[in-house]
Amino acid sequence: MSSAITVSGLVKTFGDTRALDGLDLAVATGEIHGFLGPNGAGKSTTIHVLLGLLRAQGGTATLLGGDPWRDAVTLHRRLAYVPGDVNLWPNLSGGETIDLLARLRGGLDRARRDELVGRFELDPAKKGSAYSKGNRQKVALIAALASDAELLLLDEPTAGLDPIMEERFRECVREVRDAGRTVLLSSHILGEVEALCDRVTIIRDGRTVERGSLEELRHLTRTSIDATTARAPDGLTDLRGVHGLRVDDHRVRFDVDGEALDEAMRRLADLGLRSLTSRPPTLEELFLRHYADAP
Amino acid sequence: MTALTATGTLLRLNLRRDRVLIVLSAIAFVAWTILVAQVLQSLYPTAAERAQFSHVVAESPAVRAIRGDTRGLETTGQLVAFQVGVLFSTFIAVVTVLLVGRHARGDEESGRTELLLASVAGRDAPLTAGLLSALLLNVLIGVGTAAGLVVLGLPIAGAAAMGAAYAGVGLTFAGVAAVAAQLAGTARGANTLAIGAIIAAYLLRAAGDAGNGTLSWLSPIGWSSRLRAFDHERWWVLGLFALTTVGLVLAAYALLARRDLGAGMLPQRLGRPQAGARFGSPLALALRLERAVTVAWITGVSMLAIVYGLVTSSVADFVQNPQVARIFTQAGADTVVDSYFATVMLVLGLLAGGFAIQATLRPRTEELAGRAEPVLATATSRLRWAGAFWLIALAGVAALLVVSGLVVGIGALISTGDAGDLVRLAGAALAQAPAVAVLAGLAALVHGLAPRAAPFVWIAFAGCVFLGFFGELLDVPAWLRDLSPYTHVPQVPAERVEVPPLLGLSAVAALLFAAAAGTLRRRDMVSD
Ligand SMILES: Nc1ncnc2c1ncn2[C@@H]1O[C@H](COP(=O)(O)OP(=O)(O)O)[C@@H](O)[C@H]1O
Ligand SMILES: [Mg+2]
Repeated sequence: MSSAITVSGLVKTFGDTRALDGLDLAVATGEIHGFLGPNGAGKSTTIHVLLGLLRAQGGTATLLGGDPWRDAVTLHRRLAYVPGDVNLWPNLSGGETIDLLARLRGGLDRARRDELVGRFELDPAKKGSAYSKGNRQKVALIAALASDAELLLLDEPTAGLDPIMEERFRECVREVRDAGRTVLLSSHILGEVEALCDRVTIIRDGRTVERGSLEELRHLTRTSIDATTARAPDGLTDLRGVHGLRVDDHRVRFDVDGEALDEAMRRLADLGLRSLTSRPPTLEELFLRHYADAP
Repeated sequence: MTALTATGTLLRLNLRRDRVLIVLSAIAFVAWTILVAQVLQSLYPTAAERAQFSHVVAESPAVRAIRGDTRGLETTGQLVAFQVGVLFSTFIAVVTVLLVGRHARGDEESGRTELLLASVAGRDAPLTAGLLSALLLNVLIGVGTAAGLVVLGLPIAGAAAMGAAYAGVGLTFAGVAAVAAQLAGTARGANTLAIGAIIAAYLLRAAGDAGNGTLSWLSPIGWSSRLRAFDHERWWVLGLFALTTVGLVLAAYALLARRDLGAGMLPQRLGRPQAGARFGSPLALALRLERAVTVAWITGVSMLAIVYGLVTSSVADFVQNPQVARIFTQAGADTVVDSYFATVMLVLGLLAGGFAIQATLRPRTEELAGRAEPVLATATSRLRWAGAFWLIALAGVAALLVVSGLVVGIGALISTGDAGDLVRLAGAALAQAPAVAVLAGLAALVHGLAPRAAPFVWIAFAGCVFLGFFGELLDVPAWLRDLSPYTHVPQVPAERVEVPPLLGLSAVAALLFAAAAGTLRRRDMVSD
């Protein structure tokens, strides 16, 4: 398995802020790699270093076999990028912006571009200043997806998209992967990464804290349960994988590990379920739980 | 939550971002005025000397077109008001307009306003905070000027009127900028509209002052001299400023209540759904982004140039005047007209310098606004990206100088019937280009080194303007004057074209651009 991105021990400081503090990241060719971390963890900074927009102070980074700083221009012919914060030229239409960026990269596949404009329901005649955040995001996405780039660097690309468009986006990313291309998808939303990615790197405070396949990281995903039962909910305390159990009369709340979910549900059903809400943990909760006391 | 919620917080935020701009421009305007007053005091200490000076200038419509009403030039105060009143109120208007535009519209574009409105701030808060910043700036300038002139020993009433005239013009154009911010679809559009209004006001006044004065009453810049500081002040003119300002500000709030965030009142046209066949290079992008603003500059400067050209015959007549002729004994009328043209060329060169800096700093604006990032993530090197803007800026400078030089010539042709000046004046204007290129190179280098230091380029430019207008008058030491590239430009057409200094300036400009390219390649890209 060849690698599209190899980063090790990357350090980047802005004055007193250590944005990257020895970050490691390895993305294999042909995979969708999730790049997870809470806000301010250093995702955008890493991607900017990979694009040669920032110069790291320490560590090494290799992108498509080249040096992201020195070989920026030649490497950029082979990749496409969607910024986390899309800023468009107020006086250029969305269509013009898409075409310009594609041509600056190296060429435009008119048919694919038009198909994507239709799929994302973008009005390409509107001026940049007239687009909402979601529509600005679409312009950048279409420009990247319409390219034949080997590698897509997507920095929180779905912020601002509605659920329908988010689904279209997921389809597109899967198609890209099926065509044998590589995607680095940064996100702070666990659900999005779970739905798309083969492997995941989780960072926090500029450092890599977990990496592996989703299976391997399953222990990280706990579901929060809030249930009301017919009989008093006793006998849950001894259950393996249940955390933070709170019982209020007939109401019970707890978090449960992925592998213990099945057993916990069985026990609850035996007590006579009246109501049940379950919620996947947010990334922030996950971090609080797992890494709150990490150095 | 009312519409004004969080105005105070926003104002504090604005002031933190603007304090350097506000303080520096207040100091600059106050200091210039005081300096000029001091020098005029020592240059023309007696009434007799002042009378002689006013005799020379009062007759000339050309002088009136540039500096304003020449009525009453008997006291030092009157000389000060004449020398700097019109000029500085125009500059103050420009600074004020940029300040208001930035908050009332620029923040909205960068998404900052959206963020604020979504959280805590009322809808009217950004505009109000922007206007309050402008109020602070103009009060500082007004009070500072008045206090400084009183300290110099000038009459209190006149000093107060002078300060009030500055603040009055500034605040009137704050109102203009507030309205423009609601009308235009973009921040740039708003600034262009407001600056256009300033140019129009200056031209109306120039036409009025060169003629019988009626037109000047239509211009807030004209009112500043109609207030007659140091000459039986007409205080009621302040009412004109107050009424206009209040009217404009109320109109701005009314319009603000009717428009959507991020949109203007003037309808936004749709663009083309696909790019044209050739729209696909950094140069095409730079050309597209700079086209409108370059044309606007050329148009604005040409409007000024035609006024300068049209008064040529009065410059010639003025020299025929026996009293004046005695002063210019050894110089013939032709020479006097030519030195008038040389001064006009310097003015055109300075204006081109302002344009050049703005255009060369465009990549900086792009970078800070986050619009460089998507381009630099394509197969576009930093040098090709920024270099495209530099090329367009320099081509714009050449076009601006040639066109405005030609327009001066056309004005002169209409005025004197002599077509010989056309090509000569276009060439004379172009002689300013190497000096302008040095300023552009400086702007590029500062962007390459530290994009946030760009205000220093404008300070350097203000220094050049100051030395250009007052360097000789104030007897500034030669070494200091030599710092300005304009000092080294031969005063064509009054002097012969000298090639070495022009080559020297061009070489300096080339070095600056080369250094800019080197530094830009080495640093981190930044954004706000
Ligand atoms: N240009 C900059 N100057 C100063 N600090 C910065 C800059 N860019 C990022 N940072 C800081 O670096 C850290 C990482 O930021 P970022 O990479 O944007 O995080 P993420 O994309 O994961 O939300 C944050 O603490 C942020 O405030
Ligand atoms: Mg980010």
